[in-house]
Amino acid sequence: MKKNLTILSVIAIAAMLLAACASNTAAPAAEEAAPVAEEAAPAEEAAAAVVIGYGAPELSGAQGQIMQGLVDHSEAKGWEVVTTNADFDAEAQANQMDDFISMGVNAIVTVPVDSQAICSSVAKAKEAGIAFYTIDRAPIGCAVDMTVQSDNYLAGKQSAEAIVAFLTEKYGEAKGTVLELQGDLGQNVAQLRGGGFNDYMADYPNVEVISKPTEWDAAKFSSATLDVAGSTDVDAIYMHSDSVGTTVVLAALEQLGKKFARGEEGHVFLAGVDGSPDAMQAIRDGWSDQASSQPIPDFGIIADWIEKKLAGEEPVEGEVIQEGALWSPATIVMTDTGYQLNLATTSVTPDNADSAALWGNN
Amino acid sequence: MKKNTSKLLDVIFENLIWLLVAAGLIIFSSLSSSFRSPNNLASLLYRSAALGLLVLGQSFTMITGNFDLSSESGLGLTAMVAALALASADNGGLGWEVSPFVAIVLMIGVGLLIGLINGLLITRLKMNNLIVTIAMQMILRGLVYIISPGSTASFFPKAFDWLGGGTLFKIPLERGFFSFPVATLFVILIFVVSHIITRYTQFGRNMYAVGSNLTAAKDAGIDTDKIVRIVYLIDGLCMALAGLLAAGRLDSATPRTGAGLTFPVQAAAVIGGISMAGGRGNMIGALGGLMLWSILDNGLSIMKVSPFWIETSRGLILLFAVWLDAVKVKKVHQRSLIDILLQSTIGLKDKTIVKN
Amino acid sequence: MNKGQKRDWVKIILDNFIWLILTVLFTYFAVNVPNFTSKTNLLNILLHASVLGVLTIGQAIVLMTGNFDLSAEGMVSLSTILAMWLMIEPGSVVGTAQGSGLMLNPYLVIFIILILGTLSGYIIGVLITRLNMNGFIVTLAAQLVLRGVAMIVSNGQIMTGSPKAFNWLGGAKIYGIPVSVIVTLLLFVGVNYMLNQSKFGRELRAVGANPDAAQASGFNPKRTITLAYTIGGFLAAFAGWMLLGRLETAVSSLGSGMTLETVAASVIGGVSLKGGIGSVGGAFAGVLLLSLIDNALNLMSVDSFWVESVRGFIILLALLIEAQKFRYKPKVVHEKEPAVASDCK
Repeated sequence: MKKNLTILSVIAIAAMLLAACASNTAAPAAEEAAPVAEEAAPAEEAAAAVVIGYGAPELSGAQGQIMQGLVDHSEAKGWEVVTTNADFDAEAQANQMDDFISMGVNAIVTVPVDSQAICSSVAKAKEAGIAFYTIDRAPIGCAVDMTVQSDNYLAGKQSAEAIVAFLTEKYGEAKGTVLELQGDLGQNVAQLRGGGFNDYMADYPNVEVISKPTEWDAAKFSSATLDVAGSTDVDAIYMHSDSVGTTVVLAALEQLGKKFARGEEGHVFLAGVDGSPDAMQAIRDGWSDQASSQPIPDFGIIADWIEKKLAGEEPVEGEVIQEGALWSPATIVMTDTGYQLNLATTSVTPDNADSAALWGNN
Repeated sequence: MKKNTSKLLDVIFENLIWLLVAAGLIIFSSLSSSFRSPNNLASLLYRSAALGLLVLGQSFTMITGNFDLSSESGLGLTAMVAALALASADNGGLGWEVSPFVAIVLMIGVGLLIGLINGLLITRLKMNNLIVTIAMQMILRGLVYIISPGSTASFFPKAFDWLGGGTLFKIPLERGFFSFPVATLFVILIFVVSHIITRYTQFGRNMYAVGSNLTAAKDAGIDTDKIVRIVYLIDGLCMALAGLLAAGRLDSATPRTGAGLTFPVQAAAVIGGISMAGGRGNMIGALGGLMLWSILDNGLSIMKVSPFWIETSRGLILLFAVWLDAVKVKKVHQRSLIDILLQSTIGLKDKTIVKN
Repeated sequence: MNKGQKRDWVKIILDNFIWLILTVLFTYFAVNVPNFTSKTNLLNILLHASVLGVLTIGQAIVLMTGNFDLSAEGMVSLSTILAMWLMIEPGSVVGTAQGSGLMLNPYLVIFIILILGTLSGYIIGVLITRLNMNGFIVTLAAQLVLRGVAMIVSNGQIMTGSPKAFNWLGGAKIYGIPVSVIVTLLLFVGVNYMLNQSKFGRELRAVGANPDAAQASGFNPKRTITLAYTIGGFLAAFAGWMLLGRLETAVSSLGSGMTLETVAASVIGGVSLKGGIGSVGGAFAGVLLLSLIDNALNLMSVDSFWVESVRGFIILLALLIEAQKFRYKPKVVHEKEPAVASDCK
């Protein structure tokens, strides 16, 4: 009895130590997508070292790239970045924000899991005097120092334009059936991508749009495609995310015997937002046709504006032009959720699919 | 002399969870200055307050030998109901903008209703509580989606947020403030009160009796169905309180609020010594389980351990906890066998109970 | 009609009630939903049912011994991720899947993941029977560990591009019918036959109904239960192989929520949670029912938010009927030890 107890306590404490040690050795291995800053000394001790806290909502596809972009831009300035991943959990993200505030970082940058729930963290950061920035999604209902995002509405519109052009060519007029695979409608990202798409389509009443929610889940992309394309003749498919959707949708079409290349009879026009490597490859191979590519790594330029803020400067409304940059022209507007830096998206078609400037091609 | 030492060891063994909590606090504090900051330590229970209330409700049902997998959806539903009633139409609500008091009463009403339904389904209709509560989890979550605007409803009056997100007091430090969250105190208080109720009242004793041996409890004249129904009502109340804490903390409610909490709830309760078989464990132990869970989550996250590793380690800790539980069961079983042997003149008592 | 005959008649209906519900729903959808009865759509329904079906067989077997298996969905996740990791290259774009670069032969990989599933099931079975740990919590912990490892290996990425040889089970067709459908149907028929005719089947039910009586009759409950979990683990990996072949994509969230569905399908199909009762054939009907509903909802313009509630109601309904069944049948004798219960029931 006594022996068992001692053994148990020793095991328990050893397990704790192992877990803590594992964190130091496992962290570099587990986080290969993002460099991990060492246990940062509190900011007040090393006066010059700027520490940024970055909260990712998940790390697959575009999000991993976004994080990398921010890290690259920050490290180029000699800053340290501490990164976390909330894995789609708004409460976990709130906890991570709390952790950053305890750590006393200079600024927090995050892609909110939930655009409204993030506001309680924004308020706390403000109380602690820490600057707060969001990427890819603006908060709803509170103001942050700045948001950098792609114009998701424009992205949806670009895909719609491409589809209407295809339908007009196929039938001589704008008519046909389009399947829209929607993302999580609770997020404003999906709302905007759907909004831009459907507003454009509203001008073409002969085009029927069938919308199915998928909550960004691969299995749902598959079953929605199988069911709808299996029972109706679908001319085009519009995916809110081609990172998740490209391979899965093509596999489903193949199952149905409806996978035809561009130029062949029966080709289903594929369009989407993101411009992921899978989508780029699919366009080059002739299976897919359009992607509204986001300037993913360039979201990191928000580091420039953080630098200005830390030096006491405020952003100015207007256009931001950088010759040759895909995200240019961007616009800065002041809204009731703070400044917004909207980066242009690029409509990728078979003509420019090889461009090295697109993130999906690097 | 030997008996005293072994009794002391028994006590330690029973409260092993607190040993682990202490070990966790010491280890993480020594490894990370951010962890040991006063604000962070005070926030350990604040971050897991909603989870804590669900653990409390679950502990009540588990002690009677039942459980409830629907509590995460109950949290979501009560939070959404309150959110819709409180938030302005611009912020996703219905625009009624009721007073916080009314909203809280509404939430508690919904929670009690859920508890009532669960209790009735299980006692009157004799349905297996695992599947009933799973079905309820799905139905309630579906209801949340149906009533919600599809997106978040947020921005509630400060009075409503006070319990989940408010600060009890602030002490200025050399840099910033030390804020002690209301939620931390609330969680501690409510666990202590529950412990007193379950340990020192007749009702509490009845709960344990029902959990250890249903037939014996019935034979002793206890209305077991009533006890079970009351316990599920308490569980429903806990869901409402958890919803209040969650909504108050984030100042919003989303259709996904509370989702995914079912497994941490079971885990924290079991780690805290509440046996799944019923009849064992206490509320203070459950609080310990909650604390350990929160320490691991917060500590490993501050140490920048990838959340993926944290998930895996949780599973391992849970395995350890249930192994511990099995060892305890064996010990108790051996003890009771010995007792029976000593008492009985015939030998081993007949173990088979035939229901008809 | 005397009481005995009436009871028989009611009994037959109740036993096969699920098939009745299935027929009614099918007819309703056939009439009201366009294109429901087209060959493609019917095959789609069976396709949806195949992965779920394989998992449900495993769950049903474990349920019949009076236990639960919450870990199967974790194994689906890990087997798909691990398979991809072993077969694809590291991505060159940051933020895309980092395979191991090992580029193993797909057949070898299939073998590996099936062994993994079997082993995992075996270990779980041993933990539950030899160490007397509570089945619910052990499989819950196993699920956390399995999915956690999947997340670590994939680093949260989506992995795409599984080789054709691997995809055969999930993606290929024979004479126009998907292979996965054929295989699943064969599995159901085969397992059902085995459980009804073989000694193992009798053992399974006896152990589920009354472990001690079963032991007294010469069966070995510990071995039977361990075997049940081992089969469950193997089938979970098999289902993972099938799913990956269909999606050609692996992400660690695959399989989430399937545990609930497999338990629900089994219960709807007449498998009792107390153990000892039920058939795999009934579970199959349950799987078909859930797939039918999903498919119909996709074809109709219904908010997917309603699906959750609809499913929940159907399960409750099925449970009500299950509870009523016992009024007309002699109750199975279940044993519970007086001072202590080592299993949760």
